[in-house]
Amino acid sequence: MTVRFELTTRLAELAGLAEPSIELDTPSSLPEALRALITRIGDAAAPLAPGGSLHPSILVVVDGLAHPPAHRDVTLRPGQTVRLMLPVAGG
Amino acid sequence: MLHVAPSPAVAGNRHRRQMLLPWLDAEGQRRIRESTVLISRVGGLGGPLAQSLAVAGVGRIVLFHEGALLDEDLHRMVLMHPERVGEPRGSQAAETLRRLGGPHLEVHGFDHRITEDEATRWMREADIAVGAAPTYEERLLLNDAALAAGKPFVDAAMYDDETHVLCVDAGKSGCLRCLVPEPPPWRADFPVLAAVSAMVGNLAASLALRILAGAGPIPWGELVHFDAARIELTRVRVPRSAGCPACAAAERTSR
Ligand SMILES: [Zn+2]
Repeated sequence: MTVRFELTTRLAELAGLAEPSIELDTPSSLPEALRALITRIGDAAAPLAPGGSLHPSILVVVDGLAHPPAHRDVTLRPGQTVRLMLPVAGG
Repeated sequence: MLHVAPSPAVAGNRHRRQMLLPWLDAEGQRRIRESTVLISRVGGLGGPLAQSLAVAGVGRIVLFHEGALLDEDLHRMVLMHPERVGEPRGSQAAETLRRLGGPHLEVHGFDHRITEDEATRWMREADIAVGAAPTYEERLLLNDAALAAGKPFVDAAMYDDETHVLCVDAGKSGCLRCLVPEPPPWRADFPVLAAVSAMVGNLAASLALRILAGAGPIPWGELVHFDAARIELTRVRVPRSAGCPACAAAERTSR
């Protein structure tokens, strides 16, 4: 299944991606889709995904609903976009 | 012939124009006047935020801001005094707010970072907490104190062109700790343009005033993320996390 990921600006910078969105062929389970993205990002993912799984402070949003780490065991439907956001800190 | 509106200079008329807003009647304005707001940090984001609360007629503002004023603060910290570089920031911000708010505004300004004990103590009296601090540690501290007191919390933050606001309805909506259980490890000297930090500060002020006035709609439990470069607004529903200690404390208080 093709999954479209969209990253907020700062997160895309940290991930070393030139574009803030990326499409990947992945399995439909959200955890597996996230693993495919981490693999695609490669070395730059090390601080974002220590131990191979996404850092708990990175927000995962599907169809406008935040999926905290304990609520990610879901199956994506075709056409859904996974949005990844780094919580902003500054004032 | 030019129509001249009557008596704009009459004392007591200060908030007349905002009371033309359909959501702000005399009762709402009275609630704002009788309210106490606790705010952590009054810099590039919290300064414009506190300024808007003061001129809107909030009765009491309690603010905390540690550190001495630097020259590099002056491009965004509008409550500070350029001739007072090197002096503590909380008390000079408090002075500016007193001048703007007039005699009906009481301001307590502290020149240190808010502690857990102080947040707990002030939240017994405050009607709302507003977080405008640059660190998650301080914002989560305020989130937890507000929820433990069963009071609303508005969190605002920015980094470069990215901004966010979250309004938390204690014990009912998801909170900042549900969303970010632990502070992100990425630290940076955050890039900031005053136009952007003031924008999100004023969005937070507008929401805080509506909450105080008992007006709506309030996007409770929704992270409102705005990217000022992409001109892109994203709203994210934040579910309540079953294991969130802050939400559990809010529930105990409301029982
Ligand atoms: Zn919570």
